[in-house]
This record gives sequence, structure tokens and C-alpha cells, in this order.
Amino acid sequence: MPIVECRSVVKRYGGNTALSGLDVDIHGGVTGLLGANGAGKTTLITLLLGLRSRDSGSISVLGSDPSTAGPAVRQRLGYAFEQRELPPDFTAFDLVAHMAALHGLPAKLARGRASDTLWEVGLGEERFRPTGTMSTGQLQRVKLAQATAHHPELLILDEPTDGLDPLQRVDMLALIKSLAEQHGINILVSSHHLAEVERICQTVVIINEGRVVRSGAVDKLTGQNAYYLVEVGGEAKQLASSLAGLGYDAEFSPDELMVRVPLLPKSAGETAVVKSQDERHLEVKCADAIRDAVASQEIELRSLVREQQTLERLFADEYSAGNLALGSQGGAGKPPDRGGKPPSGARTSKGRRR
Amino acid sequence: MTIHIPDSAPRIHDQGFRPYDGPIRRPSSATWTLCRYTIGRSVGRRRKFRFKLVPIFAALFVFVVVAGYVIFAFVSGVPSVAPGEESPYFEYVRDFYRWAVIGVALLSVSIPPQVLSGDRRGGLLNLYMTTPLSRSKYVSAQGIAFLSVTAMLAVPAFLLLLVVYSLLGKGPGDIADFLNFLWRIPVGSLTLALLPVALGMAFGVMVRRGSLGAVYNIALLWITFGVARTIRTTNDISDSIFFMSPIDTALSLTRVVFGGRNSPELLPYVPNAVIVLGYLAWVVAAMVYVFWRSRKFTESL
Repeated sequence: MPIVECRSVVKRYGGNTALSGLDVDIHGGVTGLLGANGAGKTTLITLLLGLRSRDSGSISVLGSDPSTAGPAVRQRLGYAFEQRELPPDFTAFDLVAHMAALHGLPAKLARGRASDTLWEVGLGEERFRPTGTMSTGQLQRVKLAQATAHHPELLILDEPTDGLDPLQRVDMLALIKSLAEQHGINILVSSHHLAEVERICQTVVIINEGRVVRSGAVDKLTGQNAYYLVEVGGEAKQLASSLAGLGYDAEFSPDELMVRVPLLPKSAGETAVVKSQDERHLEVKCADAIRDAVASQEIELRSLVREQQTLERLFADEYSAGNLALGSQGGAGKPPDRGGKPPSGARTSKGRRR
Repeated sequence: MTIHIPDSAPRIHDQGFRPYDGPIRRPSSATWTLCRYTIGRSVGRRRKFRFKLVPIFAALFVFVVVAGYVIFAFVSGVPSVAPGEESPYFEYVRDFYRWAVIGVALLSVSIPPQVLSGDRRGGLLNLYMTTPLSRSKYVSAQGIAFLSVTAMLAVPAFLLLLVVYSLLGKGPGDIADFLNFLWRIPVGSLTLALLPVALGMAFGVMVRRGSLGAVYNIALLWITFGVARTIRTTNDISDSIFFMSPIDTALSLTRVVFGGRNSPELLPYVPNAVIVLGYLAWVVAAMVYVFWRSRKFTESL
């Protein structure tokens, strides 16, 4: 049974529609919530917390409707918000213990849990420092600790690596992963950092303009579009047409003598359910086809590299297909502000970074 | 050689983060948790010394003065009561009353704006909104906490006076009189505190800096007090003009509660029921504003 179920959820702010008939199921484990600014991620989170009321549709979080049982739902959730401010005159320990007590833990147990949780997030030695004297990395850990101390059934993290340097990001991601894997906490991560989401999430939900455009297991979404990148020393066009004759949707790049060959033949389609054994078989079959085609045309094979689809690439492809609109900082329902260009860092359809 | 081994059973002190399987209280308990926490915070518990200054000064105004009254009563004695005369306790209460007002006013003018605006500015309010607390529960918990703090200041002082004068045989005449005055102490103290606390909360949700909220609060109290007094002394108009001053309204009602009669110098011709209505009008207006502003508490999430 999903821990979060949304059916035809609509939320409007005046004339702006933030969520327009959103349908999604979120199961256990670590789930990434992706979308451009203004896609509706934060609106969805506030609806899950029962902080705002929806205009229509139904939402179930841990089996309850947050709009009618908000306090009971929030007691079982943990939420680490994106904003950087924490009360500066609180020590980390006081803040975490206070939040645990508000979530229903008796005061004495809340203090014990606060201490344990702060050690768990790596702030054991710093737990009696006021948060006003802490670095951004430490504040992110305090936010994580205050949301985790009562051991929530669902932990919602909004941009948990925001403002962190690369090393701190790695640490924070490892921490989130350990909370899920070692302590069994279900986590929903809202983030713009697609590579990070890909590293820690088992499933992703991509939202655009208030609707879910893609959702599913990360390895399925990315694995279905795995491909071979073939570098040759001769006529790449001939090789591409030869492979196309075998049913592979090969693209060629005349400048670099590259051929991009999806592992799945056209007939399989991107929604096909392929078991892992079949995947390996298809992969070998595709490699054999490339080898045979190269040999029959007597051209030089310089490299044959298997590449996996990334979430960044998937995001860019969805954008190219017109399924995604890039939002602005302004929030829900606002038009894109980037002149229709894909995000920096996203790959082009030829697989190169912009 | 004998080695003594303690008879307590060996235990493994297992520490560290793990799934919580202890007791969980109902979501509604969050209101009382916040209330208790705010009481401690209001009196400066686990906070820097500057946050303790106002509670200390307020306590000085009330408890040092009441201690002086008690010592005076023991050392100099208390005037005898002629048959049919009112107990001197009532006179001393009215005399002491002005000191209690200063203490309560110090707390209620400065603490609610400091706590409420601090919660918003420091991000604590956003954290609260992710807990079982709702906006209305948050406001209610804070209101109860502020009232409790001011009551903790006023109730024991009046109670101490009552007990000491009763022990000296100069208090209420019999047990019925004693009980008749006992209920007036919490009611009168809450009456004294409710209106300034409501106004303090209104300014607390209005501004982002607690000090600014305290300044606005003091300005409102003194300007309305001065204007009402000036209008009454320079114009021959109804005494009801005093209702435009929250100070006069609160003082009048508290005097009614404590003294059992209207205050001749403040509102000589106004019936008690009208004073109560005027008082409630101020409180309701302030709290309606507080709840109206609380609608925006979750906007920054």
C-alpha cells in the first residue's frame, strides 16, 4: 500500500493553478520529487502536511487525509524545510528536544532522543552550541535532526543539500541514505540536483505545471534508455543505416564519427517491462549486432561504450519533447523565465553537455 | 582475598539512534508542550541574561513590594477594625495594586511581542507548523502561557497579603468573607493581565521585531490614556470616553473585581456591566486581529 496517494488533486492560488489534477502514488524507500521552480513541488508538500487545503481531489498520507487529520498526520511525519533560518539563540540540543516533545515524545525521552539523533547526524560534539553560531552545513544537519528525532514514518526533505560544498553534500547524501537503509525511514526528497536524487533515490516523481509527467523506479526510467556509443574511424552514416536495418534506432554524428544505439529495438517501446535477464540478453545482442555491422563494412572500431541514461538526460529529453516547462523562482503557475532553453548542465540530444 | 561484586545485575548500556518504540502522547498534547515551553522562555529560562531582565524587574516590582507590606504589617501592626468597618486588607490591596500593575504591565507589554515576532523572524514558527500544532493552537498556547506568567506574578502576591492579614486577625471577618475574597484574587489578576496580554500579542503578530512591538504597545497605552483623560477634563462629555483607553478600562474592571465597587476617581457614573462590555470589546478586537494575522503563518513554507 502506498504511503502517499494523490488522486486528481487540484490547488489554485487565485488565478494561478499550482496543481492541476495531480495523480501520484509514493511507496516506501527513498523517493525523489523533481520539477522546475514553480512546478508545484512545495505546494504538494504543504498539502501532504495538511497546511493548506486543496480545491478538489483526494490525498491520503499514511492512510489519513491531512486536510481533516492534519495534526495526527504531522505527528507521524518529519519535515526539514528549505529556508536557512533557525532560531539563533537555541542550542541544537534544545531545538531538537523541543521539536521531539511537540511530536508527542515525553520530555525526558525527547531529550535522550535529541542527543542520540544529533550524534547520528554528526553533531554530537556541537549539540550545545547555539544554532546562530553554526555553519550552513551544520544547520542542514540540525534541520535533519529536528525532523528525525521522533522517528517519523515519512521524512520530507526540501533541498537538503542546498548551500553545502561538495564534500558536505556527499556526507549529507550518505546520511540520508543511511536513515533510509539502516533505520527504515521512508524519505521524500524534493531537490533540483538530479544527480544527487539519482544517487540516493529508488523512485522519482517528476512534476511539471502541477501534473506528474514521469514517475517510477530510477533504474527503470534510466535503464530503459541505456545505449551504446560507438566511435568509428570510417563512415558512421553507413553503420547507422546498417543498424537501423536491424531494427535499432541509431543516430549518427558526422562530426565525431559516433553512432548512438539504444539497447532496446524500436518494437520494445520505452514503457515495456523488461526483466533484468532480458536486459542483459538484449545488451549482448545489440553489441553483437554492432560488431557484425562494423566487421561487414570493414571500418575501424575505435570504442564501444555502454552509457546509461541519467535523470539529467531524462529531464532534458522530457523538455525537448515538450513535456516540461522550465519555471521561474516566482512559484506556482508562473511562466518560464529562461527563454525556452534547457537547464545548464543538461545534456543535449546528442549526449554532450551544454 | 575477597572481591566484592555489586549485586545489581549487569546491564548493557546500549546507546545511539534507533527506531523509537516508546510512548507517544496524543497530538493535542503539543499545545500544552508549547505552553509550558513558552512559560519557561518568557521568564528567561535557558536564555541569555538580557532575556531575564524584564522578568526580574517585574518580579522586583511585585514581590519586593509585597514583602515590604508584609514586614510592615508585622512590625508596625495593622490598624484595628471598628465594628462595621471594612477590613484594612482591602485598603492595603488597593494600595499595593499599583505595584502589581507595573509588574504585570512590564511583562505583558514586552514578552508577547518578543516571543511572537521572534518565532516568526527566527524560523521557529515554520518549524511549529510542521508539528501537530495548528495556527489556532499555536496562538492559544502562547496566549495561555503569557496569561499564566502574568498570573504567576500577581496571584501569589495578593494571596500572600490575604494570608498575612488573616493571620494577624485583620483580614476578612470569617471564612465566608475569606472565600469571598479568595476567588477575587485569580479573577482580578487575570483581569489585570488579559487585556495587556491581548494587545501585546496583537503587536507581536504585527511587527517583525519584538522591541518595536513593545514600543508600539506602550505608545498605544499611553496615548489613548492621555487623550481620554484630556478629553474628559477639558470637555463636559460622558465618562464612557474612558473606554478608548485600554489602561483605564482594565484598571476599572480590576478594581471592580477586587474592591467590589466601582472606582470613584475613574468611572464614577458607569455601571459595572458597561465596564465589562468595554473591557471585552478591547480583548475581542485584539484577539480577532491576532487570529486574522495567523492565517499568514504558513505562507512562508
